[in-house]
Amino acid sequence: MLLLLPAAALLGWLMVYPTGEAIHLSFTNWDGFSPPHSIGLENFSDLLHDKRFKEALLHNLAFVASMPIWVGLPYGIAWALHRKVFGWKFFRFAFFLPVVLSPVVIGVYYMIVLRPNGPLNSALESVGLGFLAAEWLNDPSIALPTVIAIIIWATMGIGVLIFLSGLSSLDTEQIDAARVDGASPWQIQRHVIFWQMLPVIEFWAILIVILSFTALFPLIYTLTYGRNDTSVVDFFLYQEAFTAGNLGYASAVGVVMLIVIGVVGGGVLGLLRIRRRGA
Amino acid sequence: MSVDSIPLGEVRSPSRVLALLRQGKSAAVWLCLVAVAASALYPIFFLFSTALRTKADYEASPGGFPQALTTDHVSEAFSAVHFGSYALNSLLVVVPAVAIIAVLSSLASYALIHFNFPLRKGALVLVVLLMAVPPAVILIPIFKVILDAGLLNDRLGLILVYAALNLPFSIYLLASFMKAVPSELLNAAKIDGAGALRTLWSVVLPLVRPGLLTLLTLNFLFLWNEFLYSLVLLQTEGNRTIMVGIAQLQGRFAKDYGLISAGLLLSMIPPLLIFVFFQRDLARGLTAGAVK
Repeated sequence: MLLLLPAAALLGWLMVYPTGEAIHLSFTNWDGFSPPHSIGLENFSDLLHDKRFKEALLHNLAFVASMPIWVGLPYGIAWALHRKVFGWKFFRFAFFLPVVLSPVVIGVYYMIVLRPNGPLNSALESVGLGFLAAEWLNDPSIALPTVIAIIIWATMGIGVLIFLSGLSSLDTEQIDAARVDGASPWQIQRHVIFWQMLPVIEFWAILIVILSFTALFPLIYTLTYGRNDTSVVDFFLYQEAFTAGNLGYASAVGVVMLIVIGVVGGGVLGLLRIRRRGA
Repeated sequence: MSVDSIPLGEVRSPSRVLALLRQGKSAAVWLCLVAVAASALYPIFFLFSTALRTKADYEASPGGFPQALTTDHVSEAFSAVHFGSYALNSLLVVVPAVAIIAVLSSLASYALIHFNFPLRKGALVLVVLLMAVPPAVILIPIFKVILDAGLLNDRLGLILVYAALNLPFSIYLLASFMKAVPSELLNAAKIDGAGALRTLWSVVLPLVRPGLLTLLTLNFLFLWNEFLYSLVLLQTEGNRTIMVGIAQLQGRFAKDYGLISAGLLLSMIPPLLIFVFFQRDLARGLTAGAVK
């Protein structure tokens, strides 16, 4: 089919081939200058013992573990907007702003706002909440939670949109029937609406897993540059490849990352499905 | 009847305490919404005021209202940091890439939806599989391909990479719109003697205009905001894109928040225009696939 040819050529050259090449390079010691030499499984066995890699991976998993808030917050907001609370059109407009901003812009913005004597801390002090002021990005014990809060804030608008479109196609007959049968609002939410919304929730959950492993680089680069216990795998991959010059090793990081995304994504879906059977 | 008219929160016992509690609860929910909305809109206020106020004024009340105004930071952003040329560099990469994506995905999705050929199903599956490949995973092999092709630090390299990375999603998006075009129309065009390309141009594309608009705004936004590939594939000062320029400001002008804010605002102009004028098209693209 001639119409497909240009797209197929481009995708073959810059998507399909690189995907195969990613696996090939992960078995080499390529440094960017000399031709890559195969070193078997050495990169992978090194990764198993690389403390920095394991820490970075744990940090990614912390992002995944924040999923209840990451799902619950936009769901709650979408529910309120769906019920047309006062000013819902304005809210829908406002929540969308962070969605169009580059993660680089968001990172630099929060880097300024969260500085030790920056706007947030000085605002807290001026309303008498000075004891809450903190070194948000410099204190290793709270830097990672801070970055997690920022990405939840940054992606909340997408979640609201997705949930709103799900809520607008609910089967109202089922809900009416449950209400006539005397179900409480909470029972309806839990036993009727939740099941109808499950495919949408699953979609958002998978998106969160993907974001948790692949969308953090620009935020980490601008907020902490991986310092204060905030390194994540895509940042580690970049550093290994382009500051340390270990491009073969970094390729192995990419391959492991892909496997972990698959396993974690499958696990999350499995958990949601078990709930479905249990009910 | 819509769900909104179902009083899910209705109190069944006519107790006043309960009614008050309920009012209190919805007021609390509403206040939470206001707080979150304020945090979402605050960056606009903060960056504008920080870009336009003096350094001493900023330090007196970093998050508050400006008292002493200046345009120094804005002019500095163009003279000392060349933000204008960073923005131009971004446009020189993003506009051609979006154009390539629009043409190739129109051709490909048209072929995939309205023609029958061997391996058609396989091609559709491949598109979906490629959508699932995270860009970071193929960063290094793509770097190698571009290096070997002599396109490192050449805009053409990043343009082609951008087009390839966003093509699977764009084909998928446009195909979902193409499905709605009735095949009777295509047959009619064929009987009238129109060739495949002519039919695509004069019959199909006008019918999928909302889809095309979504595709254009979404891709422009993604690519304008993209950072990782731009950082790796364009490493010279002369072709640096705006997001890389901003991210690297912090090192050189670490405490110059007025200047940094002016740069951030400049980089936000295209996204803000899209936010104001194309929010609906963007929303359509972002929820594609979530609800069948």
